[in-house]
Amino acid sequence: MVLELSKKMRRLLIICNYFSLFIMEILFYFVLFNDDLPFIVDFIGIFMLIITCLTFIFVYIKTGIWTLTHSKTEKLDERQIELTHKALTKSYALFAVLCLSIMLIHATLYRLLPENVFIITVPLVVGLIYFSHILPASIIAWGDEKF
Amino acid sequence: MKGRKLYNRIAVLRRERNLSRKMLAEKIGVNFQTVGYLEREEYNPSLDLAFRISEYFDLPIDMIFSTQPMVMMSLELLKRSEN
Repeated sequence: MVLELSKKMRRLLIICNYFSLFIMEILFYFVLFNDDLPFIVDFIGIFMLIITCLTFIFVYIKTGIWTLTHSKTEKLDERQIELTHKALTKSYALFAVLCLSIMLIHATLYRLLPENVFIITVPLVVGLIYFSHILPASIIAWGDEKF
Repeated sequence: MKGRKLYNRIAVLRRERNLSRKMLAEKIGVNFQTVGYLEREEYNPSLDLAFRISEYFDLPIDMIFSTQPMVMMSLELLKRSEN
C-alpha cells in the first residue's frame, strides 16, 4: 500500500531527514576533536539516527519514491522515466558540486592550517553515499504533486 | 524545447466506459497516476502511448487528442457528418 502524503508534509519530512543527517555529521566531527563529552551528545546522535531512519521510511519508502528512482527503466512508464531522468540530472549536478566543494575545502584547509582540522572521515563518506541515493528521490518528492 | 499543450478527452471516455484510473492504466500499460496526469492535461503522451489509448478506445487519434481546447463530442461528430 502506497502512502499518500501532502506536498507540505513531504517537504517537512525531507527537511527533517536532511537536518538530522547534518546534525549527525556535525556530532561525528565534534566527537572526533573532543574526547570527554557528556552523555547527552551520544543521546542526541542516537536520536538523530532514529529521526533519519523514520523520515527516510515515511518519505521515501512508504510513498514509493524510492522504488521510482531505483527501478529498472523497463518497470517504469514513459512519464515516470521522464520524471526520474530530470531528477537524476539535477541530483548529478548538485552532488558533483557538493563533493567537489568538500574536496576543495579539504585541500584548502590542509594547505592553510597547520593542524588538520578538517579530515574526510568514514561517517562523512557514508553520509555522502546515503545523500547520493536520496537526492533524486527528494527532488521528486519536493517538487511533484504526485509521482 | 517545451512542447505545446495537448488537450484530450480521456477523462470523458474513461467515465463513459465506467473504468477506474487503475483499470485504464492496466489496459494501456502505464502507472495509474500517469492516467491522472493525462486527464488533467499536465503531461503530453508519446506518440506510442497516444496510439495505445486511441486503439483501446477504438477511436481516431484526433478524436481523443487536440492542440485546441476540446469541444463537446456531439458537436464534433455533427461537424464531421456535415463535412
